[in-house]
Amino acid sequence: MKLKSIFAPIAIGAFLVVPQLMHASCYSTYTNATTACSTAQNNTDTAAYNTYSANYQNAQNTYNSTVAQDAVAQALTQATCLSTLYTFTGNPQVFNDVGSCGSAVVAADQTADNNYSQAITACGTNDQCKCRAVVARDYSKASAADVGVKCGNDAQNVYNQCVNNSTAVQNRSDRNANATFINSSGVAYATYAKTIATSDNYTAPVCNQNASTAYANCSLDVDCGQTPANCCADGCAKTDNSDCFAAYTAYMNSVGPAYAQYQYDSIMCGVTQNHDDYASYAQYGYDIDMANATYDYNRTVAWNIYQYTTSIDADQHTRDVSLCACNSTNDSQYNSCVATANATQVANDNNALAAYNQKNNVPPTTPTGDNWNTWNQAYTNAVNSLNAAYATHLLTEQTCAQNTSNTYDAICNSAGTAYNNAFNAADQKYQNCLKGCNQG
Amino acid sequence: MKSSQLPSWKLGVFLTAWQLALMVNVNAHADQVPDKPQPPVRITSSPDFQLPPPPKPWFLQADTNLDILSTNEEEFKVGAAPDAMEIGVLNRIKEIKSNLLQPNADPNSRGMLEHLLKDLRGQLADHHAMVQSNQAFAEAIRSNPRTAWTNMPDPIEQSLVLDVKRNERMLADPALDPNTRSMFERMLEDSKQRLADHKTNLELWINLRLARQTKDVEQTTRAEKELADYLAARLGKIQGKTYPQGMSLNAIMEEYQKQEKGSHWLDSRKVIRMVILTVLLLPPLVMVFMAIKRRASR
Repeated sequence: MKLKSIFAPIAIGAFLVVPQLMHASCYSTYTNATTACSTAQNNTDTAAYNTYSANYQNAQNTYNSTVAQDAVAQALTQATCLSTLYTFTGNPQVFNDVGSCGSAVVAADQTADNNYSQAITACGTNDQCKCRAVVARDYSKASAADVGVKCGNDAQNVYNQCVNNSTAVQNRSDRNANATFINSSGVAYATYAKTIATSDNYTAPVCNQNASTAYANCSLDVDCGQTPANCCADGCAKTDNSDCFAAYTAYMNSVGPAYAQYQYDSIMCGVTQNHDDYASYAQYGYDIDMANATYDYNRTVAWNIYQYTTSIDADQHTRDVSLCACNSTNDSQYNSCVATANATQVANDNNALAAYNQKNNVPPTTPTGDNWNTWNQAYTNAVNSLNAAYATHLLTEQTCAQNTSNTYDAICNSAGTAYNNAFNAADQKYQNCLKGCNQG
Repeated sequence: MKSSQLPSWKLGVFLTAWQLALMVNVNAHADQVPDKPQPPVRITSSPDFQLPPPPKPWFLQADTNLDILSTNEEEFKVGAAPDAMEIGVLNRIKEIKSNLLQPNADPNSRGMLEHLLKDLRGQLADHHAMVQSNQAFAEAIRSNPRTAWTNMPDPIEQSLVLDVKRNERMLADPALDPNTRSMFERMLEDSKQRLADHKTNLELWINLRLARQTKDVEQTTRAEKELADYLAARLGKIQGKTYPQGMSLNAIMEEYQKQEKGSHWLDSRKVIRMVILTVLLLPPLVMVFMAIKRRASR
């Protein structure tokens, strides 16, 4: 009796408290499990973020390094261009350096002076002969100077072209480096997005679902302990929970990686298109830079030829007029001779101008001329090539996106079918189990 | 008549022209000579051309409207965060904000960091939603553990909701380039459609279970029919054919099993074919080999 009086309250208390404690234990296990899910998710996400940051930084460093190397390469090329120029025109920093163009003029001057001395000696007292010797000397010197000026102008023009070409090469390399950067940083981002999509959208929900199922089943055990009459139905519910979890997990295990890959591939379709666009734009920029450099070179060649030709025309005119003076015996003869010289110069200059205009004619609105046509053709080709490349890349990107989407669709359909089958099987099992409980 | 002293000054002009890089006209001309044209100017563009634009920068450019400092108060409470995921996200947010405040970050890096910042904020909100869902589930289970199948957070729905939110977050970035935007628009539509399909699918299964619980035959029959019709339409879409309306749930589930096992059956057929070929071909091949070996050893 005494014992009964002691154990009765303990038994009642235990009956009330133990289930509560058991339930608390289930809940505690559940919260520990969800905390573990959260920790695992964070570890994956943090690692993905750190990897992304490192890869992005590498891509950035590679880009910066390439651009710096391009600048050095351009400086070296331009130094070579300048050195070549100085061999023709002389280095202004070096005293008396007149380059090969200047040396040729000095040599021609010397030859003209020597020829003049020999001619004067040969002329003896013949004034007309002496007059012609002076004219010949002056013409030789004047035309040699014209050749020298053209030589220097041409060298300068070649130098300009050399510098422009090296700038075009550097620009193209810099733009290609940017295209490479786009691809590398794109891969880094797509990889990050793929990992996060897997971790946040699939792994974490499955992990939590596992914890939830365990918690639900633990609580069913508590319920069974508390109310033995419920045990059969609780058992059915436990099996059902586990079967549903298996159905969910199977679906998620198929679709999760597929979705992450879908994310990655879709992003990469865009990144690849962007990279290819930039690479094509780099080539387009190069083509345009080269077209401009070629135009600039050609127009200067034409201008140099025009200047040289008209200078020679002037020298010839001077010589012809001087010879008129040497050879004429009266004013009428002289005037006629000068008129012929003038006409010859005008005709020659007109021819030079016509030749120049054939090459270059740049009125304010509609440029024409051979050089402009060449430039125009190069521009047209570059523009057409770029537009065609853009269109091709866009089409490739669209096909890529469609293929990626189709692959993902197929996996989702397959997983969805399996999920419905698994759910149906779980449902039938559950219904049969409950029937068994009711019959029992 | 002209002077005969030309050569010396012409040489001087030549040298000066080169060292000053000037183009000079060295000759005086007679009056009759035509006017010299101006040297042509360099062409850099033409009004006749529609020059193609440069490519749009890759999809995460700097957002000029983003105010980095106007942030949720919560982002400053890293120490008080309740779990590892929240602490981790808050730490990454803090690091990105600090990087964004560097004055000389290039536009590409800035764009990426801004995007990551927005994404992390989204991740934090998603994580909060998951924690709340877990808590609601725990409460429901505490009151009746046998209601798990109606209260259990559906991981597929959670996953699809997160897909939708991720795509919406991408599209909310104003710096997104048009091509990438249209790609994510397609992905968003796709994820919304999948979510709607999945919700309908699960809802119909749950409706059926709830109807069975009521033991109301009419209600159960209706729920079965609705589920069967939906599953038939869904399977028909996958297979590219139309199932008749009013198929029983058992009948359509048989079709589902055929669909699922189709690939396995093919696999097993391949295996059978291999076995038959091996059985038929292996003995003669062994015999030929043995005969050759015997002849060689003689």
